[in-house]
Amino acid sequence: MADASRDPAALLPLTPAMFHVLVALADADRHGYAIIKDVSARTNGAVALGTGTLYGIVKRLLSDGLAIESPTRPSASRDDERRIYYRLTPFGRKVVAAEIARLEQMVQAARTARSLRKA
Amino acid sequence: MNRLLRFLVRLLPAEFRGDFGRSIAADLDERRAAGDRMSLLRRELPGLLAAVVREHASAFQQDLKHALRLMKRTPGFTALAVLMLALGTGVNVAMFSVIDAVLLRSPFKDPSRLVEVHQLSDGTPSALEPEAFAKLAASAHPFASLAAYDFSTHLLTGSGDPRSVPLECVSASMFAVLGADPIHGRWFGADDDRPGASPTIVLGFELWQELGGSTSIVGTPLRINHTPVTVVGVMPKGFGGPLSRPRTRVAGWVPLGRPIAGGGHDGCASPFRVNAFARLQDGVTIDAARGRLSGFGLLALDDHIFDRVGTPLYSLTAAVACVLLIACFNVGGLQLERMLARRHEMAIRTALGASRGRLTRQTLTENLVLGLAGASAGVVATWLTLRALVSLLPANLPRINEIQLNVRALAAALGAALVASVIASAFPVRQLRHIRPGSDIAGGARAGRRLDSWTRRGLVVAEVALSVLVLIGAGLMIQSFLTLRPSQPGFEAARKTLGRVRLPKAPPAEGLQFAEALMERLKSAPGIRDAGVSTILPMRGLSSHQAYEVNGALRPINTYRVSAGYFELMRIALVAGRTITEEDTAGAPPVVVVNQAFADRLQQDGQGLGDWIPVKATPRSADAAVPRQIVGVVANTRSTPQHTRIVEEAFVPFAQQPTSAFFVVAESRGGSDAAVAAELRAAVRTLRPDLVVDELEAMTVMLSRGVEHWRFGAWLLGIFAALAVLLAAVGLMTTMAWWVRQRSREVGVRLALGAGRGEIARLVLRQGLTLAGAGIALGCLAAAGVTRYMALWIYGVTPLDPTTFAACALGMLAVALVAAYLPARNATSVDPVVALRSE
Repeated sequence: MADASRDPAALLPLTPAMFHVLVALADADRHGYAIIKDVSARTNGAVALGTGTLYGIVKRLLSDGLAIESPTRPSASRDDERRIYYRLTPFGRKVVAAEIARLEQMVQAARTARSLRKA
Repeated sequence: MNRLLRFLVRLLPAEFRGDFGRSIAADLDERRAAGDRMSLLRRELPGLLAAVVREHASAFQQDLKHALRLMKRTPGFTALAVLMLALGTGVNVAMFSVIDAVLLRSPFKDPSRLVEVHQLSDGTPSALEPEAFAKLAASAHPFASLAAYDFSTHLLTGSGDPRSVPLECVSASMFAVLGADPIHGRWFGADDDRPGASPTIVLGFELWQELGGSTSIVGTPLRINHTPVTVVGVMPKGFGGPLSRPRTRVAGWVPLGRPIAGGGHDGCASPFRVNAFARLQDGVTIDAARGRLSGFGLLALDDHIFDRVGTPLYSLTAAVACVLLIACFNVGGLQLERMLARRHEMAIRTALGASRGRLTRQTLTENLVLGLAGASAGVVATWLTLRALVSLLPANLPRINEIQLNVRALAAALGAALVASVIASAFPVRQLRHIRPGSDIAGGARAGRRLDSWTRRGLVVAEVALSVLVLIGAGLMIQSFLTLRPSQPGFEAARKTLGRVRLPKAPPAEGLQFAEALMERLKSAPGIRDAGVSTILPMRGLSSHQAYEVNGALRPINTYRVSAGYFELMRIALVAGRTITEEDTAGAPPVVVVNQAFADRLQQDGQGLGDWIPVKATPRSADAAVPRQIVGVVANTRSTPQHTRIVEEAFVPFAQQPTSAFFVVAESRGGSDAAVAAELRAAVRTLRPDLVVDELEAMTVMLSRGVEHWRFGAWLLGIFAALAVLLAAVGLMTTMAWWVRQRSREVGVRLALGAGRGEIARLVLRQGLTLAGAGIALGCLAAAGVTRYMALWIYGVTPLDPTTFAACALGMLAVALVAAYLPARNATSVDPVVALRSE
């Protein structure tokens, strides 16, 4: 899967849950539960992912080449060997950026409606 | 981790679990440590459940795509497999539809609680004497309800042509016993079922349709036996009374306690015996009920129907099951071959982490797709051919008109497809266990060949055995049919039409007068060459015995009372003496003509042509015997379709022993049977407008109907056997072709070392015939074990008939020879150089 030849826009729009997971991986490699916690914190608890849903998304991210298993792990004292850490790929980063741009455009477009401006 | 959640994780597909299972466990543990159990369950349960469904669906979708791609890539294999499975499931769906209608479906509520009640005298069951029924009804019996019925032909007038209608006279309680609701109006009440009540009738669906099918018929009168009878209800389609007899489709029901007599017909007044049905009380088993009765026997209603049609239907079901099994084995064998060819691919996939479960599931999915495609094609084929199949069935099969493709048949097709996929998958899946990524990736498709070639050969042996089994069953059936087929019944049936005339409550002399007037009228009718009457007819299954005193002992002899010219009309050959003529009137000396069998017996006893023998009109009659002179001997005729045994028979002049009920036979001048039937009906009506002709049919129809039971068995089993043999031959051919491909190297070496092409062909043929021989031997052994269950249904051959067994074995061997010939010929065209280089 050569990233250069792939168009990030082909994967858009992302589902909200997938978007949140990608955002959670943007700043650091994280394992499953860490992703759940990060999403929850970022959305003030509004988005509570279950493990069943999360790993379905992770499977998609891995097979679409948006994320990979991270080769680096924390020190043994803080690590649970059952865990897998995930890392955003450059392509995944492009996709999430494209999604942010798409959402921004949508919001911009909405702002041009005068009656909605205050809301 | 919560136990329920852990269980759900385990339900995830193996691959998904392999990738994420441990991570999920770690997450759940951490979550549990952080929060309380209930909130954990609440938050995780829906997501995990959804994941289980989603991941399995996605895996199935992938397998499906893979299977379809594979099917497209090998169109020849796909077409062959689908065709074979279509044959296998198609015949099963068709048979299921028949069994469903005839044996499984019941128009009654809770049919398992219905029993037929018999009176036992010396342990022999019989219908009940009316007094016995009354006694039983008054006793503390174990039945929730109990009802009696009798059967009688009634005369319907005033609604189109006057005609006979078969009616059942039933107790009012029959409704409660059977538990079937009228679609219009009501069933009888106890008030209708007593002497002096105003007469009522409940119509069967067909008669109701004939009478216009209007609901306003309820409450209006019909004229039955010249008596006005009020219609009170109409029963639903398919309801045919307790036994649902189709030959004499019961047209309606009248109360047994209020017989409809009139115009010389007595309806069911004063029945000699009645049939009784009962519904067992809740919680009482049939055995417990038997224990509470003395002098009465019980038979489950289902068993009653089963006894009559069970053996043939279950034999046929066993045959179609064999056909399906052979088709499955064939597909299984082909799949095994493909699995071996894909061993390399499978080994690579295993090495890449695909679990055996995953590969198993994929194989199952492939076969499921094949099975479903086959079943769909089979259902379509059945739908197209079901009418033809039903026309092969005997017309007296209960509920035959209800046979149709319904939801249950489709469910059966689905079931057959599932069974077929599992069986066809079993062999290739077993193969998966032997995949060793290391050696298989290196060795290609060749490794492990020996082991699987045994499985494959075993399958072929089983296929041949099963087809020989069906073939032998069909052989026995065909032999029975050929034996019973009325090819030479001893008389000529062509161009003859028969009908039965009954003069209600008429003295014998009136019967004679009417018969003579009728014959005179018929003989002068333009389309009729000749006509005659007889009290019974050959090959009709009816008999009438008179007692002949031979050497002081009374011998019951089947006796016909025939009009002058009867033998000439029926083309029954005269052997000696003379036939019955116009001179044999009531006042003339009493005479008798005997058949050859009886003449032979008489000769042994020292009597013959010209001698006088005393005859009693009924075997038990207290009358003195009347001496009759033997004036002629005629050739033997077959008296019944059920056997070919020649019985001793005698013929006395109708004029000397007339009756008021007889058969009339008319021979056409070459016109249609229908035209003769119309002339017969018209002649009777001109003479007596109140009379009707019953049982009108061409004599050829009567002959073929007598053996339809065997004809349908021979046809259907024959067709199933042909399918079985065809499928087994395909199995043998594909297996031998595979064997040859596997051995192309060996063949190449042999050819290179100077072996002749004939030698190679013989090698392949020998291998094929060895497999076929083993299958044939096994099949014969299996047949020897099971054909005795057909004993009730076959005639003229023993279940172990050596000729049939030998013929079937040889036939199968011949087919096997042809099936092995093509691969053998291919083997001889192997180019040694190519074969040796390719491996």
